[in-house]
Amino acid sequence: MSRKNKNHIKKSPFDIAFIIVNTIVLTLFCVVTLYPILNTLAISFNEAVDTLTGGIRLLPRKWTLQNYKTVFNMKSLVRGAYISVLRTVIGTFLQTFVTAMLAYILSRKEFYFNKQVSLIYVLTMYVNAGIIPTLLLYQKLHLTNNFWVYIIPGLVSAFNMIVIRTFMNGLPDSFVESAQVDGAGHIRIFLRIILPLCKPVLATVALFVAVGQWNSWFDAMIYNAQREDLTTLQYELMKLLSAINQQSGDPNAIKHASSMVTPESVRAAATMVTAFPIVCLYPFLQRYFVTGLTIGGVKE
Amino acid sequence: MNKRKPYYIIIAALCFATIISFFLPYLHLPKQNDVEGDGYKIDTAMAALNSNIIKKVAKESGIPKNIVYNTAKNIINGKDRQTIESRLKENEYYIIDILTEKMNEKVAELDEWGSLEKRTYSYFDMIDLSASVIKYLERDIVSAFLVILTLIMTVVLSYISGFVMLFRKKLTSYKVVKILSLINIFMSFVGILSINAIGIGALQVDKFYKENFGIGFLVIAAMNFVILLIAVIGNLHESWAGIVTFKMIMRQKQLMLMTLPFIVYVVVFYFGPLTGWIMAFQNHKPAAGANQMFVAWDKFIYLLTEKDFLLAFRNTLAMSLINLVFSFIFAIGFALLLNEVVNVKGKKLVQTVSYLPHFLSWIIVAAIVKNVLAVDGGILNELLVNWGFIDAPINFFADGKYFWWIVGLAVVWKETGWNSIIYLASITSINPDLYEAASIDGAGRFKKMIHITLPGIKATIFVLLIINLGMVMNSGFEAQLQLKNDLIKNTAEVIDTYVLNKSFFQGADFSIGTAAGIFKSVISILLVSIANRTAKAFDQERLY
Repeated sequence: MSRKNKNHIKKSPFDIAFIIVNTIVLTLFCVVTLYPILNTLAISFNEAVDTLTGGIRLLPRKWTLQNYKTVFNMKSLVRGAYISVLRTVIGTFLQTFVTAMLAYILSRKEFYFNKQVSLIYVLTMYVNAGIIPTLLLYQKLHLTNNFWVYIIPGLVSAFNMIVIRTFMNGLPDSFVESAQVDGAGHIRIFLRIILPLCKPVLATVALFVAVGQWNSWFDAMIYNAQREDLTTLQYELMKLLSAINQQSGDPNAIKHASSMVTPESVRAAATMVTAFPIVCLYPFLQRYFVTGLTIGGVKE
Repeated sequence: MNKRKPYYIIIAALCFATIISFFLPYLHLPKQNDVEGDGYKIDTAMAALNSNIIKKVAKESGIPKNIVYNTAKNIINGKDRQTIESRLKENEYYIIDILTEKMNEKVAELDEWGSLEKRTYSYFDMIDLSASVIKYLERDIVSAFLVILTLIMTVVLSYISGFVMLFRKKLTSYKVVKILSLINIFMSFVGILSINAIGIGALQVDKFYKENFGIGFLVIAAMNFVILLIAVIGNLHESWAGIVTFKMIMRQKQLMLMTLPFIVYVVVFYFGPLTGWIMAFQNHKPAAGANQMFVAWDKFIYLLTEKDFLLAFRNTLAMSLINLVFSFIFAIGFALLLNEVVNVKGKKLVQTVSYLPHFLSWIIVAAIVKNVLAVDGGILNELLVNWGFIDAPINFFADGKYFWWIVGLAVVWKETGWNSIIYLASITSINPDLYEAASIDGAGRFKKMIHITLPGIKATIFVLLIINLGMVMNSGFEAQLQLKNDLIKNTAEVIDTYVLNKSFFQGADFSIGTAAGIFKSVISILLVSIANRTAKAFDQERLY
């Protein structure tokens, strides 16, 4: 297909067959990946009663916004969305900043303890005390039933620290040295010189953190179970899904049935609402995470 | 060499301190109020209750252990016969007599063995005591053996490490001391736990052990820890050929101050919870506060004999192996095929599509999976029926045999694109000349893919395979938690969900949950370190 190939050697029939098979396989892959998502999207826009007759594929038969109206009228989901946005914004900012600060300290080659401190943080990737000891610790620290349990425990991530540190190590030393000659302290150097230079890698890490924050539900379930006002969108979605699956007497589910909305449709709409921010933002941010992974030393 | 001399002195001093701590129990002598003169009374009734009588009777009669235990407890507490009988079925009454007789025998036996007469116990006395426990109680045998073993081993190891430090003057590495100290710390820990068990479970001399042996062992453990720390620091310093002096620290005081909060943070949030592991050795009751009952290894023994846990263990291994194989085959295959796409725009599009599911949470993915596999209206069932593979739709979530594969394929759907990034990056580093040469030799695209690209990423594949094998205990739990139901519990439960069930959903046994967590952590840490070492041996860089 490309000019370069044509110049060299004629394509053999076997090559053409291979290209065709390859195209088919990859197309199939894309279909398999996208179909379930698009199908859920179609169901979420289709009239609930009509959906029950089956046969909805990629496009809704009877358009309606009723499912979404129902979802946006559910107080718990709206509250969860508010907390999710809040934790994503605060968490992304704080965690990226703090991790970058540690990465800066550990990227200073003259620092006597950078090896030891790195080692301690790398150990955290492997040593995990388990859910119950962690829960009890958070209780002692009064972090349970508290918004900050979403932010503080993940404040420093060893993996992200390594990603940022690797990037910082690639920066020329002369920046820092000349600033030090001018009498700037480390905090000033970090804020004024290093942070602006690290924008690409910080964007990558921020993306990782943001996706993690948006998607997390486990902390809401375990640590903040008693605080209805601190629930997150994902956790609310999970509760909604499991309540519907068990066909239990969930008051919400019954209410929907009476107002021309079925649990299945609501489920689809809620799923799409939860996935929406990521599906929308992600194509624009794609280049960041690929660079980030490449920097991160996961690859050679 | 000269510069490291201070370490020798410190370590030698510590070794002598360890030897001195050997006599610590003599130094610290609490007085028990309800015993005349010197010595400690054994609560013989409690000891009898905790001995193996219960187990024997339960085995012979076929009555559940807890019922026998409660009966025995009522007998000891002097409840009248009617009350005791009211808890039993009529055909079970006979065990009351058997129990009464056997308990009385045991109590008499224990009385003869006597209270602990002396007030001072050296470690040798403790060994003696442990032997007595084995002889008379027949219950905490494992614990008692461990006490004897650890008592001897800690002392021997302390001596050895001390002598190694003292007499090997041209010591080039601290490796020997490090290893010895590690074993020693482990031994001390085992010893403390086992003594706790004997103390509370059988002899009821908790106060005694707490104030004597507990401290003695803790001192030994602490000292060994210090020795280890110094050995590790000394080892790290070897490359610097010197010690960090106060003056040097002051020169970097800004960096040091900036580091301080991070150290505090990591200690509190990551290593702080590790202290909670003690719960696995207790019968943890939140109401009991600081006075928990130690049961030593009981919870672990329970776990390893419980069917549910063993099933969860099997499922964890099975699912992570399936996930491993699937994700490797699919990610590598996808990367190879994608690499053959010449059209840049098409390639970008496929990549964009393939990464997308990685960013969706497992809750959403689970909903999608359930939707696809649904009995009525699920696309998979519809296709299978239409194409004539099956006659009627299958309920995939009603039969346990499908579950592992469902999770495996869900992981493939979610992560294939993401996992392929690393292979694609690796492919770009293959020398283009190789392809050129192969083309001249007349190799087609497929042949080049098989004979150049695939061998070109062989090293990456191998290293990743080893590292992933190390993580085989971490099958993930989000997918399983979202997808499982009670019908298919036997194949769907993994260790993580087992822990959650035991501690939150179906009970509040924090001890079992913690023990299962420790079991998993210890195995996975071992596997990860072996895997990382192996990967390193293949001369590939690791994460750190």
